[in-house]
Amino acid sequence: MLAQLISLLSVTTIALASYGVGRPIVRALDIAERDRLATGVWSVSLGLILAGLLLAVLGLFGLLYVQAIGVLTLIGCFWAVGEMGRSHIRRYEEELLPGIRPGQLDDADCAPWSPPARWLLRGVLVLAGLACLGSLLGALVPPTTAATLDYHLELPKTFLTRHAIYHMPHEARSVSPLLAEMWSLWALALDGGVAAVLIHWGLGVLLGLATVLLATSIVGRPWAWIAGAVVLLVPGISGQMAEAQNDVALALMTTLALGAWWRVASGGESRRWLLLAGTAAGGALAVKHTALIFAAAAGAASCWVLLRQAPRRRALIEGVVVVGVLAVVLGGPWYLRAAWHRGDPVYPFLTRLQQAEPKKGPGLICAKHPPGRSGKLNLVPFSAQMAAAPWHVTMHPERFGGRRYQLGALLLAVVPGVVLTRRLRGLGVLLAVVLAYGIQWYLLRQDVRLLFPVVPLLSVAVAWVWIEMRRFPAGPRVIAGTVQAGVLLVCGLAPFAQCRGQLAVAGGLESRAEYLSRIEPTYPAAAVVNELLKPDAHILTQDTRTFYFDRAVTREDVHRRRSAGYCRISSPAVLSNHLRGEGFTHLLLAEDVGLEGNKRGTILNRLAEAEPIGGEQSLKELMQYRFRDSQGDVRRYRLVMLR
Amino acid sequence: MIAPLRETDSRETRTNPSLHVVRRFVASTLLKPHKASADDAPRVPAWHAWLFTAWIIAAVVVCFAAALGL
Repeated sequence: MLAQLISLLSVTTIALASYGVGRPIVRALDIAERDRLATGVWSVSLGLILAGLLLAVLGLFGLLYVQAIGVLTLIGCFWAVGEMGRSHIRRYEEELLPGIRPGQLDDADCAPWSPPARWLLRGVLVLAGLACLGSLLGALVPPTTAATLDYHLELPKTFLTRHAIYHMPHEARSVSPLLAEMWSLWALALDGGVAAVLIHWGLGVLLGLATVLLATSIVGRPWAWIAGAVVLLVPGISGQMAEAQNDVALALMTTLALGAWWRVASGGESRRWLLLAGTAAGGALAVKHTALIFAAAAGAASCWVLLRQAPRRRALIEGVVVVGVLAVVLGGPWYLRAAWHRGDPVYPFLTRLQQAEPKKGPGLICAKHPPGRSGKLNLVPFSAQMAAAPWHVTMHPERFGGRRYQLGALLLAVVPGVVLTRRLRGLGVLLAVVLAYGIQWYLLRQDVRLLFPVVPLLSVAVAWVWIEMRRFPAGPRVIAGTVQAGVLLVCGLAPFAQCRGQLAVAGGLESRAEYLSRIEPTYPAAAVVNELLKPDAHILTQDTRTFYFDRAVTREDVHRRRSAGYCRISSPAVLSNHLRGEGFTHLLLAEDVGLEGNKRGTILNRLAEAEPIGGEQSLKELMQYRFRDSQGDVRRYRLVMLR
Repeated sequence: MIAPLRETDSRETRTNPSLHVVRRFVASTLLKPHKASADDAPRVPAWHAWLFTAWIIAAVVVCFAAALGL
């Protein structure tokens, strides 16, 4: 239980420090002071973006030390406390002197239609709260999924160990935009993997609140709360809040950027919002390549706004330039880094495109896959399937990246209702962004996770359809409402079902070590390595999961590609000498047991089998255990010392 | 001449403050919100509403069936 509290405290500290960094900027811009929600969300988000960039700069200069990160975090926290004190004093002054009170956002005046019935608003918010609570329980579980450990946590851990961000030739993602991984690195420096996942849970909550800010301009604040709750009730979003990936972070950044841009382009508010829009757009570019697709979609929609609003065209073009320049300045360095190391700013996208191009010459057959497919497309481009894509994605998410990232039935069921509703100013532009993004998604990479940036936009459409459903006759309104309530109830409780086998460790009743020993195949070996081996030990492993090892670990497939003579080794003694010469001290062998073709069978296994491990031989076994995974496959792990 | 008014005992409210808060919460949950100008728009034609309801039911049923592997 103490470990859980420490993780929660670490994340609270990070949130507080982010607030301390972002709040002075928001106050200096003097644009969101009337709206406490906007002030809070933007302060934390700006702080996260700037702190992540600071960590990246520290990493590029080789200054990523836990102590330095801790001191900077504490400074941010103290600054945040000062900011809170200042805000408190300000509020006190406003109460004493009503004349200087700027006035709070009046919910009732935001929209020409009446707010939702309170039972509806409170019911939806309670369900969203349940979904958040369920995903919080999932986030309190030590990360074990391959999707999380693969590189989202492995890279930050490696950078932190080496105190620097550097290019790994064997790891393509080491040159990707890594802002979300910088936040994970921050959490790893203060606590560990659980805190890193909790950061992403917090990003999910921020995404819900950012949706409220975006929707407020279109449907008014009371209904905007419903739009925000709908986002949190999307199963893919609430599911990924319990994993340390970067799709929710990208959705947060794009939603913030679009919301700030919207205030200027449509609401005619202060142009200082453009600075926030540009910063969030830069944050989006620094999180993931997919932000480029969203930028193209938003750009296409902005062109439509420019055509419609001729008197403000010049101001809007200036706004586009400001946002674009800021975004490039903040997010561009990641792409320059990729171009420097790989010759491809969006590596590996352009590289794959070049590889997919057919060789020119007489009689040659064209490439089997069109450019950009990369084997990731399930539906044929430019066909009737394109119109049915939303149906396929909702009904069969397992074909598009996995059922755990599904969008759920609500969006597909409700959003088409906009064809029956009155026109709402602004909603058409949002849906145009969704359409443009969806077409690019369809043509480039059909992965359901990449649709998260449009979920907040679709949630605004859901809120508008619900507003309009009050004009339905009683019969269909009650039936449709009941069905949707059932869907929302299932979505609210789904995160609890997903973590039902992990409640003991999430609640602190089971220790993390016991849980990991049951679930994570490499953890027993990692525990022995961390406990017994010297700090300078270097392990060559056949398993790709290395997150829980505190000593230097190199994957065998990476070493095989690096070392020319490795595959020609034919005797255990030579192998031992070769590996010791390369600096390795131990091996972690992993073999599938009971399968006809041993998938992990490599030179290491064969040589280890050729020589009885133990005694005075060149290889000495330190431990051996078998692990049965969730599919029932059994693997044998052996930790071997080189002598 | 004006007859003097007799002083009455002040009514003691024995309501627990938290109970009062709960009562207000329940009452505000059940009360209908105020009407706004855009609420007076004409009703959606019945067949539109029924068509949309049928679509919602179909989408939800098929989605849950697919999730359950039916």
